[in-house]
Amino acid sequence: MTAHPDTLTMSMYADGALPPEAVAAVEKHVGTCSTCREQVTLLRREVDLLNETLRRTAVAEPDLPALPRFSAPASFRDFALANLTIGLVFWLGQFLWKTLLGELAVDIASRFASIYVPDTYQLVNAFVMQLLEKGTAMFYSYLNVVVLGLLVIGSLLAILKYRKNGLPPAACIGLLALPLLAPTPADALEFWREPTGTITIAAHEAYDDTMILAAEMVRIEGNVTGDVIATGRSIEVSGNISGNLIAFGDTVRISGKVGGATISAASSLMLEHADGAGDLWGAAKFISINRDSIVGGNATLAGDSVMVEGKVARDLTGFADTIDVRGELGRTLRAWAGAIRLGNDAHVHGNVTYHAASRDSLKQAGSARIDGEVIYEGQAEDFGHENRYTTARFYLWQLARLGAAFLVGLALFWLVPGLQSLSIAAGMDSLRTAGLGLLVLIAVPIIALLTAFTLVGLPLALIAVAAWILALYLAKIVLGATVGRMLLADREGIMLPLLIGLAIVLVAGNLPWIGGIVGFVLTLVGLGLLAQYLWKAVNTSRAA
Amino acid sequence: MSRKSAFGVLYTDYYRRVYGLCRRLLGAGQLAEDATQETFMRAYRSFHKFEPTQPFWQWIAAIASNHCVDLLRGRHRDAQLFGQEQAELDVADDTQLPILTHLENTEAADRLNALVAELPDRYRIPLVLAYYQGISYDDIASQLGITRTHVGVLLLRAKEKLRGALIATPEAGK
Repeated sequence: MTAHPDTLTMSMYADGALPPEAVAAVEKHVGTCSTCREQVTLLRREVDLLNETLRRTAVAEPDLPALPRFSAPASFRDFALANLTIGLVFWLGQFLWKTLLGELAVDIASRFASIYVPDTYQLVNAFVMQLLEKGTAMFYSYLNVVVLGLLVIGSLLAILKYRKNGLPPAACIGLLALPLLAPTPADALEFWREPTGTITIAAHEAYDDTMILAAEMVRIEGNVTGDVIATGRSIEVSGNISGNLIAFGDTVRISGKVGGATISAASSLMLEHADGAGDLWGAAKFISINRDSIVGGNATLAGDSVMVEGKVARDLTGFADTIDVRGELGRTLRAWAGAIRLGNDAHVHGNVTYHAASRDSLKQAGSARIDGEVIYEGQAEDFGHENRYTTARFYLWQLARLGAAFLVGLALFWLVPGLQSLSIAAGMDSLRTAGLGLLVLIAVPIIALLTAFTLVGLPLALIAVAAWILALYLAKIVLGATVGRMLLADREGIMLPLLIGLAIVLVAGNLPWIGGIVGFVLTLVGLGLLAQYLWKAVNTSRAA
Repeated sequence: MSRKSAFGVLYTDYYRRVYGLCRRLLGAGQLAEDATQETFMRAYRSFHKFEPTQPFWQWIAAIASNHCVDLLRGRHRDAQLFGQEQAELDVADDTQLPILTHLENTEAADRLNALVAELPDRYRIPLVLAYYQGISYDDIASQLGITRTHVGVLLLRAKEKLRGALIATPEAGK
C-alpha cells in the first residue's frame, strides 16, 4: 500500500479540485486504504455542511432591514431624454402661450374687431415678427438651460468622483459655483422692432451682427456684415449686406449689394442697380430685375409677372403668368408660364425650356439671341403624368427617405428602448392593432378640433395635432422595426432589422396601383402599435 | 417586459442572497449594504451583457465578490492579502481535530456562521467564494490572483480553524 496522501491533497480531492493526474494516484490509494476512504467521506460531509450552513442563514439575514429601494443609475440616454422633454415643454409652453395666445390671438382678435377687411400683410407681418422675436428668445433661453444643466451635472459628477479621494470642501463649493460663471451666450443677434415706425441703418453706420429688423418701414443704407432678416411694409436696401438677405414685405426694393443669397416674399420685389452675389429666390406679384442689376447665382422667381432686364449669371427658373427677359442669362431659362417674351436685348447662353399652353406662348424678338436650343415641354399639367417609376429621382428620393427614417428610428429606439419589444403576434392581433390605429387616426384630429374651439384649449389642440403628425411619421418606423425583428428574430441589435423592415415598408407603400392603400394600412398598424405601447406604459406606471 | 421592470424583479429576488455574500465577505453593516447596492448598480449598467441562458446568481455573485474583494484588497494595501503559499503550507497541521460532519441545532449553525465572520480575511474570502458563492478552485484562483494549490491550502486552513474554534465551544460541534 502506498503512503497516505497529505491533508492538503485529501482536502482538495474531497472538493473535487485536484488536477486529473493527481486524482488517479489518490483514487488508487483510497481504493485500498479504508482509513482514507472514511476520511474522504467525512471531508465531503463537512463541505456539504458548510454549504448548507452558510447558505441557509442567507435566506433569513438576521440584521437585514427591509428591502432598500433600488434606483437605476441615470444614463446619458435618460439625460438626453430629460433634456429633450424639458426643452420641448419650455419651447411649447413659451411659444404657444406667449406667441399664439398671449399676443397673436389677442392681436388678431382686436384686428378683426377694428377693421372689416383684415389686412393680410399686417397679419403676416405681425406673425413673422412674433415668430422671430419669440423664436430667438426661446432658442437662447433653451440653450441657456441646456448649457447650465450640463455644467451643473458635470460639476456634481466631478464632486461625487473626487470627494472620495479627499477633495477639500472649498474645492467642492468652487466646483458647484462654476456654473455661475457660465457665460451668457453672447448676443450675436440684433433684434430691432418698430411696428409702426421706421428703422434706418444710415449710410455711415456699420453692424457686425446678424440683424432682425421689423418695422413699418426698413431702410438699410449702411453696412451689415451678417445676415439680415427684415419684415415690414416697405423694405429698401441700398447699402451693403455681406451675408444673406431675407425680406418679407409689401414692397421690397434692393439697390445695394448682397453678399449671400436673397430670399424675398413680397407684393412687389424690385432689384434696381442691385448687385447680388448669391442666388435669388423671390415670390411676389410683380418681380423686376432692372438693367443695371446683377444676380450672381441662380434666380428662382414665382409671381404674376416677372421682368428681367439685368443679368442673371446662371439659370433663371420662372413660374409666372408672363415672363419677360430683356437682359442676359448666363446659362439656361426654364419657364412655366402663360407667356414668355424674349426682348430685343435678350441673350440666353444656354437652352430655353418652357412649359406653356402652346408652342406659340414663347415670343422671340428679332434680335433676341438663344445660344442653346429651344425646347417646348408641353403644358405644365402634363408634367405630372410621367411614370414615376422610370425616373432616377424617384429612387433617390426613396433612398433619402429610407436613410432619414433609419436615423430617426435609431434615435427613437435609443431614447425609448421599450418600443423595441413591440410585436404583432398573429393575424387577428394585427387587425385589432390596425383598428386601434384607425381610431387614433380619426379621433385625435376631431378631439383636437373640438378642444381648439375653446380658446384656452387651443395650445392643447396644437400640441395634440403636432404629436399626431409626429406619430404618423413614427408609425411606419416602429412598424418597420417590428417587421424587421419578426424576420430576423435571432439577430442581435436593432440596426439590421430596422433597416430591412423599413425597406420592406417603403417598398410596400410604393407598389404600383395598391401602394396607397398598403401604405395607409401599414400606417394604421404602426399607429396601433404606438398606441398599444403608450397604453401599456400608462397602465404599468399606474399599477406601479 | 422592459429592461427596468425585469431588473426590478431580479433585484427583489436576489437582494438577500447578494447581501448575504457581501456580508460574509465584508462583515455585517453599512459596508455590506453599500456593496450590495453597488453590485446591483453595476449589474444594471451591464445588464445588456447578461446572457439569459446563464444562471443569474452566477453572474451577479461574480460582480458582488469582485467588488467586495477589491474593497478588501484596499484594506490590505501594505501587505499581501493572501500571504505566501509556502508560509501557509508550513503552518503545523492540526490533523487530530475531528472533521465537522453535522451540527446539533440551529444555534450551532449560527455559531458556525459567527466563527466564519471572525476568520482572517485570507481564509474567509476563499471559504465564502467556494462554499457560499459556489465557484471552482480555478475561478477563485484567477479572481484572487493566486495559484490553485494556494487556494487549496487556504481552504484547508480555514476549515481547520473552524474545527478548532468549534471544539473550544464543546456543545456546538461533534
